[in-house]
Amino acid sequence: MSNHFDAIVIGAGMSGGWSVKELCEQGLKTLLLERGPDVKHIRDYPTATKNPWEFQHRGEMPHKIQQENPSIARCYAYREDNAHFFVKDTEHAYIQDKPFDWIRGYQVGGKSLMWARQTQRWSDFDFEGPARDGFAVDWPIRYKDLAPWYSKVEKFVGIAGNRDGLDILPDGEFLPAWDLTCVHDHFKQVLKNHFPGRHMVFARCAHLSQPQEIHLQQGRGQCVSRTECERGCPIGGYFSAYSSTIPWAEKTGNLTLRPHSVVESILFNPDDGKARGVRVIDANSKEVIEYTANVIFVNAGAINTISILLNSRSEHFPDGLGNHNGLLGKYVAFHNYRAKINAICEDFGDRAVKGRIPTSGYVPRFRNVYRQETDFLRGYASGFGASRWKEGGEPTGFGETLRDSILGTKPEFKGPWRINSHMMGATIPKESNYVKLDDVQVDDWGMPLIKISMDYDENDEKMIQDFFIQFTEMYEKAGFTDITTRDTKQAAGLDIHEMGGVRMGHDPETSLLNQWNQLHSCKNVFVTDGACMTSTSTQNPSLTYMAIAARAADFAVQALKKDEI
Amino acid sequence: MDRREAVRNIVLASGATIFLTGCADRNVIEFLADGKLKLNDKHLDYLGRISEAFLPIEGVSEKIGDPVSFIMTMVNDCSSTGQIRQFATGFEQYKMLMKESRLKIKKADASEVTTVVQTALEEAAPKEDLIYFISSVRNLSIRNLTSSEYYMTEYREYQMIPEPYEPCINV
Repeated sequence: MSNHFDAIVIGAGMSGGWSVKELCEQGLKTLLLERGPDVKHIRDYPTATKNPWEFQHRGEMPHKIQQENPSIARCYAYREDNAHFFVKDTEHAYIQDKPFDWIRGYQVGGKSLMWARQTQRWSDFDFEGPARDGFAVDWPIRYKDLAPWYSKVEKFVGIAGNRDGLDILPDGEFLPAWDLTCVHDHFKQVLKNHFPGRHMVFARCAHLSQPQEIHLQQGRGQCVSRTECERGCPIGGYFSAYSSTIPWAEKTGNLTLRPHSVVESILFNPDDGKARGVRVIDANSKEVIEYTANVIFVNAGAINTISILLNSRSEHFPDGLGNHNGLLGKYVAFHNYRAKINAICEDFGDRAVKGRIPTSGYVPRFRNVYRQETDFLRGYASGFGASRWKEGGEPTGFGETLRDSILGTKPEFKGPWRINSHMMGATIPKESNYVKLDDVQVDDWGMPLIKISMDYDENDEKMIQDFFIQFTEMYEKAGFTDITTRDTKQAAGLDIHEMGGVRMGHDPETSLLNQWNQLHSCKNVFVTDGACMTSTSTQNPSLTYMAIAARAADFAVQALKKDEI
Repeated sequence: MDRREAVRNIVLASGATIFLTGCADRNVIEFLADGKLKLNDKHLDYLGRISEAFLPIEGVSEKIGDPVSFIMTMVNDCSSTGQIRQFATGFEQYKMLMKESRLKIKKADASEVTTVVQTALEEAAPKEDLIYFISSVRNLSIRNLTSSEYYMTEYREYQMIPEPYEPCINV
């Protein structure tokens, strides 16, 4: 096998999948490198068809594993049925200069198996945010630049949603949404009547509510709302790189997939000012191999992307590839998910939900949208859940009394509706938040350990308090009772939305990537995962990563054809 | 008749002989090097009888898994070393309680056992480890039942492919 390719993509996750799909479709012989093992759609979903009673610990993670892996043990999605897809803290150590729970999925497909599948577009309220509010740097793109790529991605991925007509949350190419409950409708009406500018909509999600021809061509079928998505969906009812982009790229005949490939660095050629390839360490044999290519996409996941660039030192770039201004690894940020609110709804006692759906309600950002109205910058979106489930008998006493209390009656709808919302807050990228490489400690592959320092600030604390006040007011107006608020105080990281560190911008002095996601100072290297993000907004970012990756890949192909890179 | 009186009656009725656990109380509960419990067959049999006394499920359905196996798995795998030791100490205290109450676990009626247990739980200064043991066996027995194939399919109507979604049904 030749070690030269037209393109190399580092990282086989959400954005890397889109990079290879686009590059391969446009005829580029592409090498896809993934540090973890291969995971094939359906074949490698060992728990997908297990019944709940077949799990030894009924879903609970053993104590020893939780103790040894405290970061992932705090993740809501880490369970007995999908633990095999999570990177153990013990297997890939990192240094927490400040507490940071880093949730990772090192396998072909990355975290696209375990994601929450929420797919809300950004708007110009997001892209124009830094310039308007005076933080970070101005995005070099606007919504109109990305809109056609959102559409392209949405059509291929399959997004269930409604056309809500909100400027804060642009509509897209939607499959039919599921109907929400009567309590959702009630809350929606309360917002409409009493809180101008606030909305509750169906949370757009990457599920095939009504598959189209393009989805059937991918071998995917209609979502049946099992809501066991994190185990892997044999139907392909939701989008993942496993079921969709990577097999699609393979079908072109242009993809070479190499799992177990730890990218040590990107190799720079000072003669032409371009990257010439990558140096890879085989994860098992530790053999060092070099691959060359005309163009390189870095999609290793924000923090790993930063670390690869930082480790790509040369005489020309002694502080890391493209790091001509010392900003590489700085201005990293995340989403503030600390605030939760719960309540009960005593109304609608004669109504209940049958079956399940894979999403919930979504309250788009309403703070500081058209003008600055609070003493904190930006704002938050929120989920809105309303559910009512059948309750079994309350276990009482011992012996036959206990047995009869459980088995005497079948579970039925007797309790109230349970209401919950969780804040999804923007954080402000700061220079003091960073990802660095340790000077001394290395991992099993000789790579410097990654050091992470990210933290909340006063803006985040004020936002949490505002969320509590605003949602308490909205809940009360809706007639909800027993309202309780909770600040989880969780460390950064559990949002699993790390962003920035290789930010886009107009000015090479204050940013690392241009409007096409090329490194300003090494034009054949593109970064199109979370690391490229200039600011965070409030929406779940994966859809935006995918759109950015598709757009940049198309640009790269055209530029190669014109011999411009 | 209050519970204390019931216990007294049980003790009187069962005579002065200590039947309690057969050979089980002559064996010391062992721990493996990793801190997990190692129960011999008699202990396991005894634990099964306790679980059955707390939550009688014999003959209910073959689709309910063995509670002893589940309890041991959960205690050993999903508890801290301290909790495992607490469970073991509580187990010994439980055996002692039965012994003091003159109850023979193999013959005692489940209601007699539970009366003793409930009385012990209502003591002015109940033993913490004993409470932990009783709570653990009771809770895990419940969980074994309510997460079983029997309960999930017959009571929860669980299906791998759920019924079609309807957002607002009348109930």
